[in-house]
Amino acid sequence: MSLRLVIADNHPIIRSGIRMLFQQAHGFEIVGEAEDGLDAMQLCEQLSPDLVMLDVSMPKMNGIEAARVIKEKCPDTKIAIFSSYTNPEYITYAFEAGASAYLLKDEDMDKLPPILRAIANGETYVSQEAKDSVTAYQVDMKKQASLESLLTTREKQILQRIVDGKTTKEIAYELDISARTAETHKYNIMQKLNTHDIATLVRFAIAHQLVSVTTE
Amino acid sequence: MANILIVDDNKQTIQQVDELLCSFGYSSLYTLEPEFLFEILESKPVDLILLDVHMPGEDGVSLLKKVKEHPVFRSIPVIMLTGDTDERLLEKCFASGAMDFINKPIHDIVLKSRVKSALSNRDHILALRKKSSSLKNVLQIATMGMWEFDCSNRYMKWSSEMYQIFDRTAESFPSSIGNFFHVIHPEDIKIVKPYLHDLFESNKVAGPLDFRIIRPDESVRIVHQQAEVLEKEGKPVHILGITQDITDQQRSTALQHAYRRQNQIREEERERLARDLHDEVIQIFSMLNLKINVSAKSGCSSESEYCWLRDNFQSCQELIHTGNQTLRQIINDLYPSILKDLGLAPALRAHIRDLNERMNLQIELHVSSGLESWPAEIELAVFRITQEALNNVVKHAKTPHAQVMIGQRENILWLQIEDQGQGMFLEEMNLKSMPKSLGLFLMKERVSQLGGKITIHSQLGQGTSIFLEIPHSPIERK
Repeated sequence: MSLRLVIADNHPIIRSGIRMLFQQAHGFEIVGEAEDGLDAMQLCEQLSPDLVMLDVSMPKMNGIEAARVIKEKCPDTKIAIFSSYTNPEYITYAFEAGASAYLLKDEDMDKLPPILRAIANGETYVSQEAKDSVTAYQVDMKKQASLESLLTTREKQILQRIVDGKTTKEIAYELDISARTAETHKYNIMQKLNTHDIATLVRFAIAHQLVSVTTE
Repeated sequence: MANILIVDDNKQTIQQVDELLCSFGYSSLYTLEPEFLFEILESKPVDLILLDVHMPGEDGVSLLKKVKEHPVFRSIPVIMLTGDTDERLLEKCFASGAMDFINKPIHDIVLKSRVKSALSNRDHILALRKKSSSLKNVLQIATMGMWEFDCSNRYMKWSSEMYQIFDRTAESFPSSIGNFFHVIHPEDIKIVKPYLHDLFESNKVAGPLDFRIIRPDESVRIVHQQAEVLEKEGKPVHILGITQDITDQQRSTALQHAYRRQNQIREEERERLARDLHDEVIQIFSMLNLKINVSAKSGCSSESEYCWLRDNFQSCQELIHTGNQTLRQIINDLYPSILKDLGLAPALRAHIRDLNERMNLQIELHVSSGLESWPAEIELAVFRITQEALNNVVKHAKTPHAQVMIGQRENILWLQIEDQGQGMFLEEMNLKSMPKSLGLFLMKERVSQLGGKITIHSQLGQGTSIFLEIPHSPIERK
């Protein structure tokens, strides 16, 4: 039995190209074509296809948003994002949204039919060109978001001195900056850590181990 | 200590009053000869004059008049001393500007209380005068004039600031309703005429009104007009009006609007260009790629022919690929569609990664957890500011190291960009004046348009730090 496919792209030229490709390949049937994400979502709901190919940048609803909704409404439909962006952000968001494949538009098109068959069988696929950046990106993502990383080197020096009980003047002198600059740093630290007074700031800094506390 | 001058031809009165005043704690001066009055006033500061009514030579009343007509000394309060209880004389004294009177023989308690109240009255008047002069300053600064219309005799009075607004003098341009009409811009007559008609004929105020006036030099100013009808027993008596020259304010807001609009147009234009390139050119590339694949297969009768064609097509595909990459870079520089598709944090991440790769930098991005979505205008502004600031790092800071941090607290989105580079000359940028770098000025403009604030710190050898906060509520992304 051939695989039932819906294609969504706001460029007629691309749709006709894909149609041509799958007409030559065996075992596919294009059951619907959509011009935007909203259209694609409704078609999938009506037709429950085996596969849907979604462009990323489409009017009304972009491909990634559409993927999210389709995954929710038709969990059996496998989603392939068909994009011209190689940014790992798009790729990561696409998979988070429930896509099984991320295909680049300038990829060797011969590969498309076998890839779509594979993802219909439950496999996943990312175009080679995008793979490396995704790995780097995921490492990068793990690094971020610790509270400590939100403070600059200078701010960490200042926070440590605030916790040590030093006045703005003393801090400014020690770090060879103007008192006003020190005051601004102090203000920025407080804004960033969402604290409104020094006592809370000090407690917060100690509780989250943003500073070292020495007991004498 | 108040200085009190006694003018009396009677030595005993002077002696008595002098002693009493002394015992009350005042210092006093005196003269037996009225003609020396002005000489004394000119040589010593005097806070109060006690003036005898009946004196040989120049009598008290005419002297009082002279004091009250004097440009400087008229503000000195005068208490008349008299043994006479003639009502007409008293009336004459008050009419000439006397503040009070004391009957002879002088009673110490009466003297004490009248002097005290005269001095405190004087203090109040001085304070009032001070206030009115500062009010005048305020009016000047606000380019605001006041006018008053008497409903009974239809007389109109303008304050001096009114003449300044209209750039005319009281002599050349008597304040009248008619003249009011003469200065109105012809295009605004239609709206102003009914307004002034209601005001002066029916004494009805139809809210504030802005309109244009023309000065004698033909320059056009915009004025803001407000009036209030004062009634007595249900009948209009006076109309008080304020006319303010708001040309400068209007121009600067118009400038701000124009700037904001220009920004919008530029972004829209960039977005349109990027979209056109993406929709038209990129798709053609993609399509070419597809076609090459398909025709390579379908156009060949044998496998060897296919291989030959394929090799040729391969180089075409490589060219297409290179063209594609270049074009994508251009599109992305024009407008980051990732910002619209995925939001601020992914867009910043993509931009910084790209910059690091292209320029061999080590810029770090830290996004605080729980960063929500913000209105498109704010996200775009923050993105553009980051772009600009990082461009500065590349161009001027001469360091590969910089940190970008973004987070939110309650209803404030904050962004910080800091480098450890060579810093700028100014210890602290005064952003009120146009700083040397137009980029920084535009950053500041963008932030202030969104109601936010930005601080920039830079010290030679200490790097540069930009911290900005924009107040708004996060929105829910679709």
